[in-house]
Amino acid sequence: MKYSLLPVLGFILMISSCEKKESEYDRGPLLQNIGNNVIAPAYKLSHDRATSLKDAVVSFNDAPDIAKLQTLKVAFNSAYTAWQGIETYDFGAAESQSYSLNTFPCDTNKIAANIVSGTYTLGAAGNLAAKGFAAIDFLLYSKDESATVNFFTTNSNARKYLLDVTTDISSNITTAYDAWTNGGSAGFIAATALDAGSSISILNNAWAQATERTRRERVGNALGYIGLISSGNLYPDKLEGLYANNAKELLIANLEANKNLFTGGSGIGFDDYPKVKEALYQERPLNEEITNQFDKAIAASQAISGDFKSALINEKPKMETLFLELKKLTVLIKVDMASAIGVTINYTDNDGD
Amino acid sequence: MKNRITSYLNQQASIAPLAVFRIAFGIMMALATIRFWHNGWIEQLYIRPSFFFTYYGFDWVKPLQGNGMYLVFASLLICAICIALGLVYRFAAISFFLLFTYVELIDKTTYLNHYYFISIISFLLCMLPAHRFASLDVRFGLAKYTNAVPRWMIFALQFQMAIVYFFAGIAKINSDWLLHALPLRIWLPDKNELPLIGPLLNLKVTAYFFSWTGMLFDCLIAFFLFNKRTVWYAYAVVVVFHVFTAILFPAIGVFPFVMMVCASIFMPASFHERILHRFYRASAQDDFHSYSIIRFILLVHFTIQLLLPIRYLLYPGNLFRTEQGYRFSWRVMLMEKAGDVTFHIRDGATGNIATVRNRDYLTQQQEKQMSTQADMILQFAHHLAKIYSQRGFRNTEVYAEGYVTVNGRGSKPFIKEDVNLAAQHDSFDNKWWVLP
Repeated sequence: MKYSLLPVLGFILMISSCEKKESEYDRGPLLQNIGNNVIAPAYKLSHDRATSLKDAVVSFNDAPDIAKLQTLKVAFNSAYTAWQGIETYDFGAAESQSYSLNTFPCDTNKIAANIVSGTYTLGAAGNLAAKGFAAIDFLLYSKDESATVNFFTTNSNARKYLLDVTTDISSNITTAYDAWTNGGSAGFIAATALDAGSSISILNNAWAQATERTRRERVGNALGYIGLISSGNLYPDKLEGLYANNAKELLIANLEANKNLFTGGSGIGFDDYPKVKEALYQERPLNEEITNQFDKAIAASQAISGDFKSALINEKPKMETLFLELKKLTVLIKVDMASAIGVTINYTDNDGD
Repeated sequence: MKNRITSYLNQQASIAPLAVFRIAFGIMMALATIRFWHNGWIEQLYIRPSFFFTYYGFDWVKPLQGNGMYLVFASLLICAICIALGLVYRFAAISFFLLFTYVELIDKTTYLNHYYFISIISFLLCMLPAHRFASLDVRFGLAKYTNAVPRWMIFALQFQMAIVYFFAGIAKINSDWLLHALPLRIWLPDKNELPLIGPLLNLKVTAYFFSWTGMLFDCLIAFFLFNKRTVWYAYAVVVVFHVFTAILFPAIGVFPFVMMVCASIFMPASFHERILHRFYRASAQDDFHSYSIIRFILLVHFTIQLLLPIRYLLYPGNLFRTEQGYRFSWRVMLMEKAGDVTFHIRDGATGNIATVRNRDYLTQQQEKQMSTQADMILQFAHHLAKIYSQRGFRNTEVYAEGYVTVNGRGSKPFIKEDVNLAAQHDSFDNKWWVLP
C-alpha cells in the first residue's frame, strides 16, 4: 500500500510531460465553427428577412393592393423559411421563442377577437396562439387575394394587428440576433466544458426538444398516427403553414438547417467530434447514422409529391414513412448523440446510476 | 472462531472514534443541507413538481404543502447541528434519520446512493451512544460520561463502510467496466480542460487505468483500512481517491467528502483521542447491558445489507437495462444510460389516441430518470391513465414507446409497445414487458 501512489504519480508525470497539443476531443474548434459559421449566419438571415417582412407589411398597410400582397407573401415565406434555421436555438436571449413566435396551429377566433377589440397584449400567455408566423399565415392566406386586400383596406384594426404581430416577430428576432452578435456568440464559444450549463449541453437539450417537436407537431399531430397504433383520425388543420399550405417546404428547411448544425456545414461539426464518430449504432458509426437519418428524413419529405394536406389523404403511407424517419431521428439526437457526447442535463447531484 | 469474534466485538474500546464520527457527520450534514437549500433544490425537487415517483409500498409519502418542505430542511439543519454538538442527541439523531429518509422517499427521481448511505448512517447513529463523550449532553448532565464502549459499536460503522466499498467494487467487475473501460471512456474526455491531468483524460489508456484502479480500490480498501498496520496508508489512499473523484465528477456533490470523513472511523483510537483530548476526565465506563436489543437490530440490519446488493440475481435479463435490483446496491457511476419514451393513451371505447408530452407533467430531471427506468415508466403510465380517465377517456389504455442506450451501444426499443401498461401492476416480480 505504501507505494500505491507511485505508479499513479508516475503515470501522470509521464503523460503530462508530453507536449500539450490540440486534441480532437477539444470542443473549442467545434463550438467556434457552430457559433460563427452555423448559428450566426442563420440569425443574420432570419433577422434580415424579418426586417424585410416588416417593411413589406408597412408598405402593404400604406395602400393594400394585390401586387403588394404578393410581395408581402414572398417576404413572409422567406422570413418563415429563415426562421426554421434558428428555431432550434431556443436558449439564452432566444429562450422560449420557438413557441412565442411559432405556435401552430393558430387560434383564429382569438385573432378575430383581438382585431375586433383592437386592444391586446401580444406578450400575454393567452395570445400565444394568436401571434407569430402562424397568425400571419392565417391573415395573409385564409382568404383569396382580393378578399384579403379588401379586408385590410376596410379594417384599420386588422392592419394594425398585422403590423403588431410582425413587429413582435422582428423585434424578438432582432433581440436574439443582437444578443448573439454582442457577446452571445463569444460566450457560447468560450463555454467549452461539458457540465450542465455548458454550450454543448444547452444546445443539445434545445436540439433534442426541437427535434421531438418537429416529429410531433410538424407531422405526427396531423397524422393522428402514433407508434404502432393508429386512431385513424387525420388532423390536417394541425399542420404548420396551414393556410399557405407549405408545411412540406417549411419542414425541409427545418431539417436542412438542423443537418447543417450537425455537420457544421463545411467546417467542424458534431459529426467530426470523436465521441460521436466512435459511438456505434447497430455496429455503424453514429455520425454516419445521424447524417444518413437527416438525409432519409429529407428524402421522405421530398418523396411526397403533393402538399402535406392532400398527402394526408392521397399519400398517407408516405406521410407515415416520414413520421417514422423523424421518430428515428429524434431518438438518435435525443438519446444516442446526447449519450455519446455525455451531455449533462442534471441540475442536481447525480451518481451516474 | 465464534468465540474469537464475540470477544473481539465485546472488547472495551475508546469512545473517541465514535464521538469524532458524530461531530464530523453532523457538520457535514449541516453543510450539505445548507448547500441543498442554497442551490434552490428544495423548490426545484419537492415543491415545483406536480407528480412524484414514490417507492413501491411508499405511495403514501407526500411532500408537505406550502413552506412545509422548508420547515423540514430547517429541522434537518438544526438536527445536524445538534448531532455535531451532541445536544439532545438521541432526539436529534432519530429526528434526522426520520426526516432525511422521509425526504428521500418522496421521489425516487432523486435517488442517489449517497443519500441512501446517509439514511443508513443516521439510522446507525440513532442506536449508538455517540453523545456520551465530548458532547453538550454530557456537559449539561443529560447523558452519562463514558470513555469506553464495546468494540462492536465502532465496528458497526466500520462494517457499514466496508459494505459500501466492497459491493461498489464487486459491481465494477463486469466486462463493460474492465474490458471496455465504459462508461469512463465516455465521461473522462468531458473533463479534458482540467489543468495538468486534462490532456490525459482524452486517452483510452487513462480510462482503463481509472477503471481498474477504481475497481481494485473499492474491492480492497476496506481490508487495508481494517488492518492496523496499513490503516494510515489506506486512509491516505482514500483521501486521494475521493479527491480525484470530486475533481473529475463534480456532479457527485458531497459524496466524496462524506466518504472521506466517514472513513476516519477506521483510524486508530489514538488519532481520535488526540483530537478530543481536552474532553477526557477520570475514567468512567458503562457496561452497556441494556444494548442487547440494539445488537439484535444490527444483526438484522447487516443481514439485509449483505443481501440487498445481490438481489438482482433473482431477476432474469440485463441488469443495466432492466435495473431490477439496481438501487440500494452501491452501484455508483457504473453506466452511461439515456433514453426517450413517448406515451400513447388509448380510449378503449372509441379507439381514440392521445400522445403525451411528458414535460407537461414532469420536470426535466424526472423525465430523464423516468425514460431509462422501467418502474418509473410504469408509475407514470398509471398516473397518465388516471388523468385521461378524469378527462373522459373510457377503458383507458397506456402504451409506452421507449428507446434506451447503455454505455453508448446505440439505442434499442425498451418497452414492449403493445403492452397496455395501465393493466400492469408494480410488484417485485420480473417486469416481463421490458425488452432485453
